[in-house]
Amino acid sequence: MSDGTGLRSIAVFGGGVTALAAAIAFARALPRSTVTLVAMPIEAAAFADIMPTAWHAVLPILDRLGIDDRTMIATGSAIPSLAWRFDAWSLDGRSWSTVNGPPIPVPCPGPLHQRWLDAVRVGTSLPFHALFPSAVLADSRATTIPAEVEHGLVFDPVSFGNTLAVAARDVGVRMTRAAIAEVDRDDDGSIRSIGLTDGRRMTADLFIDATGPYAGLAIKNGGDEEGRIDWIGALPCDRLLLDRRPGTTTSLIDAYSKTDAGWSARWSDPRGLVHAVGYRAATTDEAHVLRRSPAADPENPPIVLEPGRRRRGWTNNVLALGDASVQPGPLGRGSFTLALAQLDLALDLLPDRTMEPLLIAEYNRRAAACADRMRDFLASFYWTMTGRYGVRPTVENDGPPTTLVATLAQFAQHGTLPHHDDESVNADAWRAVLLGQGIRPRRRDPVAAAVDPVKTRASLEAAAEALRTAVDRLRAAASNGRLAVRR
Amino acid sequence: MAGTNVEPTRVVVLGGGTAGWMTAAALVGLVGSACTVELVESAEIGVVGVGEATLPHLRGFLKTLGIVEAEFMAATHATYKLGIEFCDFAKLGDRYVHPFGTFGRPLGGVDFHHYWLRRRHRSAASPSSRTPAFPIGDYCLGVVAAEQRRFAHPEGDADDPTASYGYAYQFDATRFAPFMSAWAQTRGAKRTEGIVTTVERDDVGDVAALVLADGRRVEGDLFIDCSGFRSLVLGGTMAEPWEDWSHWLPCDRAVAVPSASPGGPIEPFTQATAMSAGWRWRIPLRHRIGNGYVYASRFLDDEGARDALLATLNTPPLAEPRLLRFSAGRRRRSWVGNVVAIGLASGFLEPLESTSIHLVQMAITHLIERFPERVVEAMDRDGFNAAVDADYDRIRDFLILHYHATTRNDSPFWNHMRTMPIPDTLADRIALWRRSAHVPRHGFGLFLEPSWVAVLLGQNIVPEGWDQRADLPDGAALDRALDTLRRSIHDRVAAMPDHAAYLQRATA
Repeated sequence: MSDGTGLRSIAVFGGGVTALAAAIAFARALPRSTVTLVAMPIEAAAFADIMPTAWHAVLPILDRLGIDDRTMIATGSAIPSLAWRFDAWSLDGRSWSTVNGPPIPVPCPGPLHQRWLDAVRVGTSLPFHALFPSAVLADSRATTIPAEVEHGLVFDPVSFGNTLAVAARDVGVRMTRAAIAEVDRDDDGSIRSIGLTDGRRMTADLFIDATGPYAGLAIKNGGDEEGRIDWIGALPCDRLLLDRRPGTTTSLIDAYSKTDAGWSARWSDPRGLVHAVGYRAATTDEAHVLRRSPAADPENPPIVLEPGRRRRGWTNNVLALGDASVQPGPLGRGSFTLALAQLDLALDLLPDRTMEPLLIAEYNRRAAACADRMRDFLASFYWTMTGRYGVRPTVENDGPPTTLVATLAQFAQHGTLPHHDDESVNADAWRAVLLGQGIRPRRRDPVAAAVDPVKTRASLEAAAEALRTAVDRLRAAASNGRLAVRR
Repeated sequence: MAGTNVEPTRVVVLGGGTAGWMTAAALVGLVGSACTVELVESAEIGVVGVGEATLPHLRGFLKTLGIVEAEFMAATHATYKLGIEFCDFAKLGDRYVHPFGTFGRPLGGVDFHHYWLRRRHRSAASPSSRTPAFPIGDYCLGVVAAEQRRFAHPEGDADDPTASYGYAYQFDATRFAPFMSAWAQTRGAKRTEGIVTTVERDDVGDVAALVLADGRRVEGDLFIDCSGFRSLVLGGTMAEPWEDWSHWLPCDRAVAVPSASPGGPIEPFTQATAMSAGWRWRIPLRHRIGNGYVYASRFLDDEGARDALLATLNTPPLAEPRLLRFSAGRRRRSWVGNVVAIGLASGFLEPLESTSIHLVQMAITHLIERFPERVVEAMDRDGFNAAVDADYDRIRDFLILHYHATTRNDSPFWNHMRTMPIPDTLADRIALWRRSAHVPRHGFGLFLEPSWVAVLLGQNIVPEGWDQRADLPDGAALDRALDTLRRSIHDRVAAMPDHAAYLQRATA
């Protein structure tokens, strides 16, 4: 490493925002190297590129790339995302929302969710998410948010892509447009050069594959799928129907509900609402779904997704990012978030052109742990449901991953979460899902024994009421229907 | 209401040493009315309690219980501790401090030590240059303060390397257990004096009661074995097998002796000095110094160890040297049936990194997270055992590193340590470090990246390279930035009070 072995050239392949973000990140990190972006058409199944969203947890990564969320919102490249709401999805049938950021301060000792459970035991009907400003704001159908309310982002891929392209040029990324004609590899699988359809030949110290599920660089000689772990048994949804409703009312939440075949969702989008229907082909009468779905249209066939991840995202001098590496499925729209997490990890370790195998192994270990934990989180939405649901484990080997089983078991027992290295989802986000889905820990937190639950209930209800009032005031003061982040 | 009509879990703690009374205090303080705590101990059975150095995590434990630092320090004759100074480990004459803090601060997403490595390389390449490579400890406030015997409570931005550092305590362990005992008893822990003669088991093999010499029976739902090395209930009654780690950590004896305080400055750090068949500790308390020699009986007899230890004292011994016997390793499981072993009854790792009390504290934390309501459930037990295993394994690897990364060849002991096979997990870590100056990152565990960096560099394992981004700044600008940081740390330390004087003021 170092002193003359640094990366001199990086070639990024891909036509969407994943490739652009990668090019910017590498160009910023290594200003003396040459970064070339080879833009190619985007596949319909390249979810990170066709529908990029950033979960709250990865906004600092965007910030490190020089992408400021307020500017994104102000210029219309993105809207804030406050919550995902789940209707008719939980064990008790109540609607609930995911949460971002910390809860409001409450004058009760110990972990807030344990206090909330105490209050539930003495009869409060307050939902857990009512203690989080982001979720309460979401419930109020607010269209303007104060800057301090924690949120994620939903991007307009075209406008966001244009913004990124400008930023990429600013940091010296060379951009070209071509398709891959041929990949020339060494015996060990590393890429010597890539022949483009226009006759040019690309060489680089590092090749980044951000081409979506096609994974034109990462897949050895165009079809070797040995290196892939299938997640369909854990994330039982591999078809997606999308119906865009441009110009409809803006919403800052994604609303999901269960259907006979899978789920349907109204996704927020800077260009209007998107109606989505997700189901699993193997267990669904597809013709029936297509007949009944307003989204069905011969011009607009279902997108075919393959939830899963490559065993190794980084091999030799090829780094696969985004859907080329991991496809976490459409629920939660986590693809781009995961792409950013991988990119951040790659920049943390940043092997030089010796491509030190131990460092690459460390990248693969941590990237896999991070992806697997996101899989567990997303799988928890499927495996904590009851009721008639087309993707229940009717297929052999289906079921929640063992690490999720352990998480659910521990939470159901004590209301605590197991420790995971490279946990990709924060504890409150996990708790909101598990509690929202109706899981009630069997044991009372022993540390809570000294606290009177009736007083706890009163404190929580008062704090939630104060939060609701504050949100109502904010709505009243909000400019009419216009979206903005108040500074 | 669910949860409140459940009968409290009856907890019986066996053994009134540090582990026993810390456990009792934590249970009455944190679990409160969900349990009752009865601790059985006998004045006839001594406690191990040698001079004890701790880790910063203990502060969290005391704070959670609402224990005031000044009171605790006065009661245990405690001093402050900024880290451990290791002498003669990598080679004779070498020394470094493993601080409770980090070196410098990251720049452009790249950890400080990469920049330090580049500068070190530059000055090695041009010996005539005016850029001497200062030790990396010069870029850590805790190290510089330790070297100058200064201390003050940290205040200010935790991310500012010129303002932040962690600290712990060095105290008289024979006073710590009584302090926790008094605290626990005033909050409802019951102390029962007696010697256990029989452990009664029920028909499923769980422990039903401890029977004392005078015939009394102490019944419980959950039995916590804090009986020390004897491991009376877990190792004895439950016959849980021992997993031996002496092939990696062959030290199995210690001889300990207090010596008079030399007067003058008090070191705000623990000293660990490598010896011909192990290492010796030196823990400065307010009223005296704790000394001990941890050695491998395969390589040195007891008399030799005793003589070697006494020869290092520069003040008179205050007592006859005491001999302790132990073995590195742990019970395969720490929680079996309704018996949980905490402390030495569960396992032992030599106190090279002051982990003894921390292992007790971690076990207590794991237990409270999974505290049973009368009946033990397998899931809780398995979760506890997995968590304890992870604690032990990571500490074990870290300790082995101190011995293995050496060029010493001046005794059979060091020849053995230098050449022995090491766990794969450790070999992988060292290899990654050598090749890339990166340490595998883990989200939790006791010794995180900064500790590994401190000890790897301290043991002279210098990576072959560094992060390529550390090459980006202009060489002279990098030199200037490092010098500025070094100067501001030294200025900051110069303004800190003397440790001994601060102790008097802070705990007066």
